[in-house]
Amino acid sequence: MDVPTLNLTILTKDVFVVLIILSATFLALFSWLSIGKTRLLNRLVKTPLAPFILIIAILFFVLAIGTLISTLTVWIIPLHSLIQT
Amino acid sequence: MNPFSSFVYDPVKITSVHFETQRENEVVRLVLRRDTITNLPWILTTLAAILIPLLIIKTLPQLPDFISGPHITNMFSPKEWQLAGFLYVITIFYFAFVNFSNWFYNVLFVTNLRVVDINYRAPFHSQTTQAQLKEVQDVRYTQGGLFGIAFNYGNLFVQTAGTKQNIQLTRIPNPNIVQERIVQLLP
Repeated sequence: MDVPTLNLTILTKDVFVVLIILSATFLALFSWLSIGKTRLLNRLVKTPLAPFILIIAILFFVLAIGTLISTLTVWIIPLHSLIQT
Repeated sequence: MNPFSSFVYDPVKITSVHFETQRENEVVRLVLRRDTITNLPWILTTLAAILIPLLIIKTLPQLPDFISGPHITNMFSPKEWQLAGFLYVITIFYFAFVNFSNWFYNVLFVTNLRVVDINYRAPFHSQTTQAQLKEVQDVRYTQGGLFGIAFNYGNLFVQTAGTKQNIQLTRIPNPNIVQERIVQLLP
């Protein structure tokens, strides 16, 4: 009877992929919450820099969402099609 | 006024900075933040986080095969490496952004009527404390430590009457001058 062997390279890669997807998800979530928090803080402290900080927060959110979508496209969608076949 | 200043004092009126609960007859006379030099640790951490992977990438081909070799580089396709690298860069910049916000939005205002402390602890916690100037009983500061003495920063405590919460601001620049200015503004 064949005993299945554990391929460490594949295992390491899988762990990396899971970590990357989790990081992308957390970053997207945190950057979204940061927009709300920045808006609240800009109301509390009114300075000339407020619009720029808000723009940076929005930019982070856009980049984080873009990265999350790319991550899902690169790793999850091929996995899904692999399962279907 | 430089928006990045950590200590701004104008005995008449500071016009460029306001806060949410400011009243019509209220003028800001003192704006305080943590000393700018206290941002150095997170700035250095950010720079190290940017530079260390670059060094690793540069030295990776020179390492012996049993440490690096094709195992690590071939684990992902170039496109996957690019995506992981991009995620890493965004994470670093997010870390810098959160730390900058943590410094920028931690402000103490002293107006002609009251002391307002906006306390923000990144990423999501914020608290506002205020005390009328007539309720202030004592303003004191402590200064110590190697960096505190070298860069002239310290902690400020504004003690209020009764059971009201005291106001505390840590690592502010020139604490002796700040104490003097606040005492001058008291009625």
